[in-house]
Amino acid sequence: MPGNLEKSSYGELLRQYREKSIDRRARKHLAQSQLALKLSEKRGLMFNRNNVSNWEADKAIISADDRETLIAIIVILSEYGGITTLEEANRLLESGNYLTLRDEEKSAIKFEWANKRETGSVSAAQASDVMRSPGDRHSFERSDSEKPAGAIELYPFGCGNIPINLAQQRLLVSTSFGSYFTSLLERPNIYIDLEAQINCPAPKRQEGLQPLQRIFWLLEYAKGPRTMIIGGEGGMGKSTLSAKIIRCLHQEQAIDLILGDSAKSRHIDPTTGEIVQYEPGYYDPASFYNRMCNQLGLPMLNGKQAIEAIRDRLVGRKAIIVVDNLETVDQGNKILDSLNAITSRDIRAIVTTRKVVGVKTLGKDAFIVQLQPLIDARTTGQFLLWHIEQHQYQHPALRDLTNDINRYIGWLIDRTGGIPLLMQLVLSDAARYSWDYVQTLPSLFGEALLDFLYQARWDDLGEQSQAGDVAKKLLRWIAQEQYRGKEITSKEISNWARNTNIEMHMSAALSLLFERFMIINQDPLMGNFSIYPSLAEFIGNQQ
Amino acid sequence: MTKSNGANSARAVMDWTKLEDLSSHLSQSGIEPGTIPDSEWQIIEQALRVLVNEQNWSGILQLRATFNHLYARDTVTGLAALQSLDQHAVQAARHLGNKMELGHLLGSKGHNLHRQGYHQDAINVFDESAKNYREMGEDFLALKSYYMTSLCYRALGNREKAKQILEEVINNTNPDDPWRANPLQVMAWLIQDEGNLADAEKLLQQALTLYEKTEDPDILMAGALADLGEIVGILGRFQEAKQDFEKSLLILSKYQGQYDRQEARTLLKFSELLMHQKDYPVAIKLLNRADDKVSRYGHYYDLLWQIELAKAFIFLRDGQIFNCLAKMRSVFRIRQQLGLSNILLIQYVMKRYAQRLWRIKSV
Repeated sequence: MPGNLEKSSYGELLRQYREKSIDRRARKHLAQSQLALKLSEKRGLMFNRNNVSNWEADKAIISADDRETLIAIIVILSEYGGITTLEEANRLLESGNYLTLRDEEKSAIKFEWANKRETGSVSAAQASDVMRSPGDRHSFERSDSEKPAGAIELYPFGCGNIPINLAQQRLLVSTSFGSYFTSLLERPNIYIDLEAQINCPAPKRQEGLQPLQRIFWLLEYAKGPRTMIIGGEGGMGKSTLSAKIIRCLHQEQAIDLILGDSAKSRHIDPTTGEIVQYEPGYYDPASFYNRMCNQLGLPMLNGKQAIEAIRDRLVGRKAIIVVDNLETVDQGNKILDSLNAITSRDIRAIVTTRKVVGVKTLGKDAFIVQLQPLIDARTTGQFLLWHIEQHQYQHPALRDLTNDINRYIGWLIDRTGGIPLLMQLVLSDAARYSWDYVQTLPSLFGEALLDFLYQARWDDLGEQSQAGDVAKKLLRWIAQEQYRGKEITSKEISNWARNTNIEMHMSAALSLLFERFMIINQDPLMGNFSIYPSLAEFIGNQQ
Repeated sequence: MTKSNGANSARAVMDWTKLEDLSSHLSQSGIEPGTIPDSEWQIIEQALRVLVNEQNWSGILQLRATFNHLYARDTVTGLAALQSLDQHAVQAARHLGNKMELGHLLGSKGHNLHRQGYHQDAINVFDESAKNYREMGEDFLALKSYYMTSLCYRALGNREKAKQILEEVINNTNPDDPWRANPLQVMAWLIQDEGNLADAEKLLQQALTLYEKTEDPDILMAGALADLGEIVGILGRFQEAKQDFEKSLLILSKYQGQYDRQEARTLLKFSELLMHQKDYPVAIKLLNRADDKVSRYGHYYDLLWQIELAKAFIFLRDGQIFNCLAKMRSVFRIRQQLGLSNILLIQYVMKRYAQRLWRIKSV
């Protein structure tokens, strides 16, 4: 903490805050030249090291009229952790006799310290209280964006919680990924930081970092491995974690380009509108290169030539390449090898796969993040309460479970094998029926249990008279539209319902789906619906 | 062409209203192609498949006409669905013996081939377009296609031929005809190539005056202002050059998403000015924006290699030798794919960069 701040001049404070700012990639203080460079980029004007030096020495002052530069300096120092509170920002301004931050400036800056956490009926704080009730052996103390006591913070703990506005990025993203993945990038509150679930290898001298901090560090560290492989069963949250990481890197301005694709093996036949097995975004190394060339505006090239062309095209950019569902493609190892050639200090790759074979946990080129089942009661409780908080409005009965969770955590972990998606589905069954009911579930595990739960829900819709039939039709339609990469808004649903003459039961059908299938609506105002990929797969298999 | 004679048999399975809605939506300012999901583009492929299966030639031409504005603009011509439709439309016009339509389609195809960097192919289709127009007695339209070959010859390094065509076109155009601004602008490029910047500037001013008299001057003005900014910048009037570029970008901002290649062209020229002022961070930022604009949907390779070359020079001047070499490799690779020679590249570099350097030193 800078000493004797109250009496410091603007220049002295600027120097102190700059020296407190850390360039995490270089693991050094933010140099004057770097501050000047960042300022030039932000302002579109030329600043150099001498400008910064003169300001710090109080030999030159920034005009009070040049408010944009003053604010840009605060933004940069905040981004690099030199300024961490609103008070510090205002103190810097006051030291130069400048006006303190106005409300619109505060909201435009959008610092972590300026953000307020949204609270619902069951807030994180309330949930925390529940878990701290007397006799509770597994209480937890923090929400997803709070810093654990004593933890080292290289990156803000809420990093990646702010959605990416794809309106600015859509040119780069939306035609490459399915709507499920793009919705993960755009949706608020997608993730609860469950450190216990993430098994990330610790490099030397980084053992003290929490797993997510390690991931961010490894992905940004100039000499770190360039490819991160996220392994885990279906429903473990691989895509969600990769979206969280991409959002954080974007927020930290570590990337300005998102490339890649998903190896989806299903698509829509444009003639019949039916879901069919179809050519995925990529299915082998050659089609992967073609996809990348296409995204980078390169003519089609083959093999080695394509890899070299992609690598040269990306020089000077800060990009992340996402390779989703690697296990479903031929010669996945060859694609991994090509990523080694393409990636660099500024170009990193995230691969998700259900199977990881023959890759070192922490190698020179890649590291593996294995998503573990939730087996720890404290973490599981934290996750379940987060789930209730997120889904309570669409499925109000979930709220009634808040006080019971402690009693059933152990059973839930055993029954679901600690797979988060299964836990969520079983919890929604408990809300709809009872804890007694869910204890009668057959002895199935993993994928078999997931299929059973989906099938039971599907069959149950058949018993819900007309609203149930409408719900089935609606679910099929949502799955189809999602495969098509289409945004599913409330208006689109209304139009579809009108065209198919089922408007009357629409509201009841949607309630049934929210309760049973956890369909996601990321935009309460206009509607933006999506479903989990595993559910979309299940629907595709139904006659 | 009317709907009734265009697609009677296909009416049962094709939703023309939906296609027209998509076309109208895509032509709105502020609509970036990325905001349109893949599935929306698929209805074009779906409709084309039905029409081709039925050998419904007039239906194919109607479908092509529905999306005419997309081909005329500068954003999405590289999309596979649009390229396929264009190709089938040309075949359909040949089957029907519709020379007028063939002249139009080939002219449009020539524009897009030239924008993508396939200049020799573009010359061939412009020649065929002009021939078809002439056979239909449409001399002015034929002249327009003929004029476009001058741009291609210039890009291929044959400046003599380009100049000869332009002189012929200018001589055959009424001095008051606002369209005359087009050949005047290209003539300005050729004169700039020769190093005569003052005359090039005068010609561009004339072109701008004429463009103001056209019905829809915005995009033409935006292009000419970018050219003017470049020349004025080389002449050392930096502030004026910056204003020209900003004016050009301001005009283009009214049509966001519709003229991405034009926007990238202005950004490229603007970044070159900034590079020579040693404002490398901002220059790179502008080039990255330009890169994103041309490489996603239009695949405008001809501008892409120029952007890569500009980046190579910035890296060189900033001492980032390895990055410079990588970008030069990228330039050669893209040009090789386009069939463009390395000698032409040296000529290009000489006139675009060396000329500017010498001029700045002499100023």
